[in-house]
Amino acid sequence: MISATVSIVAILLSFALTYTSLRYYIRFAISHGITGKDVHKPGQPEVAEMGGVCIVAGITIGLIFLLPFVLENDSKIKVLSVILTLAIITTVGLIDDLKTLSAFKKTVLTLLGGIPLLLLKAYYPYIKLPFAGFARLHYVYPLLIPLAIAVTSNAVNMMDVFNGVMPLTSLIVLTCIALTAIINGYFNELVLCLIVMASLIAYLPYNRYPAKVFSGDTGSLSVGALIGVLSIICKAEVIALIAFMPFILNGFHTLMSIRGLKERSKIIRPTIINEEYKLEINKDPRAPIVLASLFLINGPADEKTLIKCYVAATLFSALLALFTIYLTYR
Amino acid sequence: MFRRVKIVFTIIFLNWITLILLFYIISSIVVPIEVYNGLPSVFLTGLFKVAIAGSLFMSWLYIWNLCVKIYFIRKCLKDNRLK
Repeated sequence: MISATVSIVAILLSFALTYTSLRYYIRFAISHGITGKDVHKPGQPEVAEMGGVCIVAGITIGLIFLLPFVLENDSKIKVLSVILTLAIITTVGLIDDLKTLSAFKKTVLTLLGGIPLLLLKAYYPYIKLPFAGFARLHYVYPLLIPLAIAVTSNAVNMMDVFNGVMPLTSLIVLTCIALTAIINGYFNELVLCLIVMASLIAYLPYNRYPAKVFSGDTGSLSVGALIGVLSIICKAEVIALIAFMPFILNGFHTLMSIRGLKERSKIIRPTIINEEYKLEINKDPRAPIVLASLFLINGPADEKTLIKCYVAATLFSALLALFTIYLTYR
Repeated sequence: MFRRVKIVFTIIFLNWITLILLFYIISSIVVPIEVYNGLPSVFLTGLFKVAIAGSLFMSWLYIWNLCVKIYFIRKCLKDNRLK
């Protein structure tokens, strides 16, 4: 097992690096024109883009620091697979941020994120289900891994629409995964979860309303992929699936409304901003129905209220996930 | 606030119930088939479980998507989308 001191240092390193690098990165991004418009604010201010690079840097340094102190081969493989998956998905995110990939290409490329887990065999091919106990999936489980990474990374990317929603909701899902890791006795894997959470906590003050930086696809795809990888290596697939429900619903409703994979720029915005700078449903028949549309069904709301709605929905899912933990492990 | 989230809460809760029921179905139908009758291979057994769970859950999500769409159109967009 990794010693407590090493774990704490790795977690603090991830937090400190993300927090400090973001402070300098925001200045650098603004001075170099790496910015995007915050469309939900009056005057649409320019905000630094691609802040996800700092999240990835913080997590990677934390994980690399941890690697020499991991004694068990099994855990070493897991840390390595997390680093490699992160590298692959970050590359996809960076290409998408700089060049804009088509939605189809992006989805296919995110499937590659599962390859390190498959090659290094950093998984156990069974799932613990409530009532059913262990379900053996020796041959099918590996086929589902790339799919899981693609689903989680793209679902988090689709959810990253308002200030602070991505880090807050991801932190809630990661807390559920961390709790399952504790119950399963996977303490090395728990440290990996905490490293990711530390980086997201450091990112939160910069991304919360009013945001100073956006994560870009680099950040949202990477965090999504990490949720997928961690749920696999912590054996928290079912719990993560339930905690992840708002992301799945948001993604599913979007895909069904726009009938397939389309680039974000080609999709008509599901919400519009009225004269009072409140968000309301876009009544264009071609606009997709997303979670925000359901929150706005009873009338317009400001961005802050919508952020609270997203967090409340994820907290509710997390509560159900905790109840599922009880049903599974009682 | 609760007025805004109650629809999403309902959808999430019903989806959760469906998932739990799915696990119950797997434990009471699929696992006994696997144990007592035997399927030709381990691969088919796994595929059987995933196919049943996956298809049931996807159909459920699809039905929900339709319900949400109908509700959404009736509530907000009847002038534009129900023509």
